[in-house]
Order: sequence, then structure tokens, then C-alpha cells
Amino acid sequence: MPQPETKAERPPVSPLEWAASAIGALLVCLMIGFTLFEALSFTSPDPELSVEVERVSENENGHLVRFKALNNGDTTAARVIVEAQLMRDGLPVETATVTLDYVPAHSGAGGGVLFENDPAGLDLQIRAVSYTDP
Amino acid sequence: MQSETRGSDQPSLSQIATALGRAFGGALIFALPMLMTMEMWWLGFYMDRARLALLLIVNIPLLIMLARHVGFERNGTWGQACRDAAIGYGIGVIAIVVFLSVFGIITFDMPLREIVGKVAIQSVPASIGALLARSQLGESDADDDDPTPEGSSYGSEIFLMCVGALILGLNVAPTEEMIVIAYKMTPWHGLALILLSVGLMHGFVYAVAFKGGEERPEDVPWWSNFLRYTVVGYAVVVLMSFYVLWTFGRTDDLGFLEAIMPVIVLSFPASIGAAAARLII
Repeated sequence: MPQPETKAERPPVSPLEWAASAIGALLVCLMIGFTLFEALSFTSPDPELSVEVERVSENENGHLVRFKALNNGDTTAARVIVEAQLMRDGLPVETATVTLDYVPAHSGAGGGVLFENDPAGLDLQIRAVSYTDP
Repeated sequence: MQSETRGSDQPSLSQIATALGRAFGGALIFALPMLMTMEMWWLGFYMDRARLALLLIVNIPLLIMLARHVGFERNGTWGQACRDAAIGYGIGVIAIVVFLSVFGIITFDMPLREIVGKVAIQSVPASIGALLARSQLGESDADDDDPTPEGSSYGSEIFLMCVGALILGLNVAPTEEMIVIAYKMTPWHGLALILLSVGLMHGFVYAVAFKGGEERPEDVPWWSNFLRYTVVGYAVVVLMSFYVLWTFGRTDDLGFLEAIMPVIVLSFPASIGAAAARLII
């Protein structure tokens, strides 16, 4: 829609404005590109959960086992229940469970369990037991 | 950008900084409720990537059209609109990154996927706010003698309703309370809410004389505006609400009748947003 009477008055676009729009466009393209890349590389609709023990330490409440639940899949898992058991000769001595709100895809979520018994002399088994779709 | 002095050709650095600051403020105003809503953060990392990408891409023409409608120079070119849209989107992204970082919602040891997801979903309302701020919150321009906005055409009004519906829809849709309301309501409640939504939409714009509302010319009967604007507007609002719910994955696994309820519930705030957009923008 040409407006000839104002064309002469319109100031030329300042280089700063060009720079700002270029930066804006770049940020947006990166964001969209990354998201599209994720969308296209989606393979599995199941989360792949595993649990790693990070460290065991002792405090006055008991023995703390810090762990991280990892999800290598493309889908987020919600309400992940992690169960930790101390075993002696194949029989459970102490059990604890933790519920994590979310373990996002390709990410981890941490937590801890407190045991009365010292995990050092016993066999610690820790695994993710169940999850829901977000 | 308008210069106060006739002599200077280009806006000064301080004028540009002011305009960018205003856009940043606008982005905040529109994005703050969502910025502090945990369901939005979670949606950032768990929502379907293809749907998120679609939303981000659809936002581009939306911003360009909005810039065209509300931009500084009402007779500006498409090029100007594209530049404004790029700046608005960029400022939206930056504003979100700043505040999510300060809140500790994104930390730099998180995987990139999580950071990008959380920022991306919030950048949509923030970018709309940034763009609106450049016109709504700005100083009045020299050529503001023309009181009627350039785009009071039919298509323009419908477009504005879409934008208003989108903003309020994005605010309300992520939360669990919306689903709870949908569960609590019976179909009779749903019908009542539809009637209320339509009535309020019509009333806000035509009947209760809000500033910015429309006077109808004497020879246009009330039902003409009602059918052409309000009813069509509500239909558009329903489509936008359904789109927002679908984007957030709230309609997956729902039967058709069960999906209608959340759409009706979301259409209520969205219709108020649509009416407000017509009044304000």
C-alpha cells in the first residue's frame, strides 16, 4: 500500500534496527531449528530409565544414598518410583522408595534415600520401578 | 521510530534503547503469569516437539501481521513489519531467558533440550507482548491525529480476536485447575458457559460502552453485528482454544465429548481475551 506523500518523510532504517532484527531472527531460527531437530529425531515413545548411585554418606539421621535417575529415551516419564533395597544373602534387609515428579527425556533427576543400616556391608540394589505419562 | 526533531534522520541510541526497553516491559507483562506457573515449565520439557515447533513457526506470521496492524508507522511496509516482528520475538526470547535463569528454572548444567523447551514455549506470549508494547505503551506519535486504526477491517478484527484468545488461552490452558473445572461441570454447565461467553463477548464490545468499544451505526441492526462479529468471533475462539489444548497435549486420549468440555472451559477466558483485544488494540 504505497503512500507517496509520506515516503519522502520516512527516515531510513537505522543500522541498529537492522542489527536488532538480525539478532532476533537468529535467536528465533536457532530455537525453531533445534526444536524441529528434536521433533524429527524422535524415535521411541518409551522413556528409558536407569538409576545411578552418586555417593553414600553418613549423617545423624542415618546413611544417605544419593542417586540420579536417568532417562535416555525421547519421552518424559512422570511420577517415577525409585526403589532402593539393601540385601543380605539375597534377602531384603531394608527397603525405601522415592517418587520423582518428572524425569525429562535425555535428562536426569536426583534424589536420596536414608537407610538405618550401613550400605557398606550390604548389597544395594536401586532401580526405577514405575512411571506414568505426563 | 519517530524522531522528535525534524532535522535528524535516524533515531538516536537512547530512543532505540527506550523502545527496546519498552518492548522488554511488554514482554514481561504478557509473560509473567506463565513465567511463574510450573505447569508451563514442565510443558517446556515434556510437550510434543513437533507441536512446539508448529507453535513457534505459526507465531512468525502472527507477529508479522500484528506488527503490520499495530506498528509504529501505520502505513509501514511489510519489511518494517518483518523487522518489528523479528525484534519483538528476539526480545521475548531474551526476556524469558533472563527471568527463568534468575528464578533458577533454567540452569546452565541442564541439558540444552530442557533449556530450549522451557524458553521456547514462553517466548510465544512474550513476543506478542513485546510487539504490542511498542505501540500500546508507547508515547503518542506525531501522526496520531487519525483516531481510527488503519485496520478496522473485518479480517483485522477477527485477527485481533485470535491474538486475544491465544494470549488468555495460553495463560489458562497449562494449569491443572482447568482440567478440574472441566471434570466438575456437567453438560448443562457447559451450555450455560457458552451462552455466558458469547453474551460477554458481545456486551464488552458493543453494549456496555467501554472506551474503544464500537458504536453501531443506526441502520445496522444489533443482530447483524452479533452474527458477523460475535458469533464468528466465538467460533474463532473455540478453534483457538482447541488448538492451544491440542498443542499442550490435553486433548490426546480424550473421547470427542470429553474433549469438548475443556474446550468450552478454555473458550471462556479466551473469549474475554478476544473481546479485550478488540477494545484495547
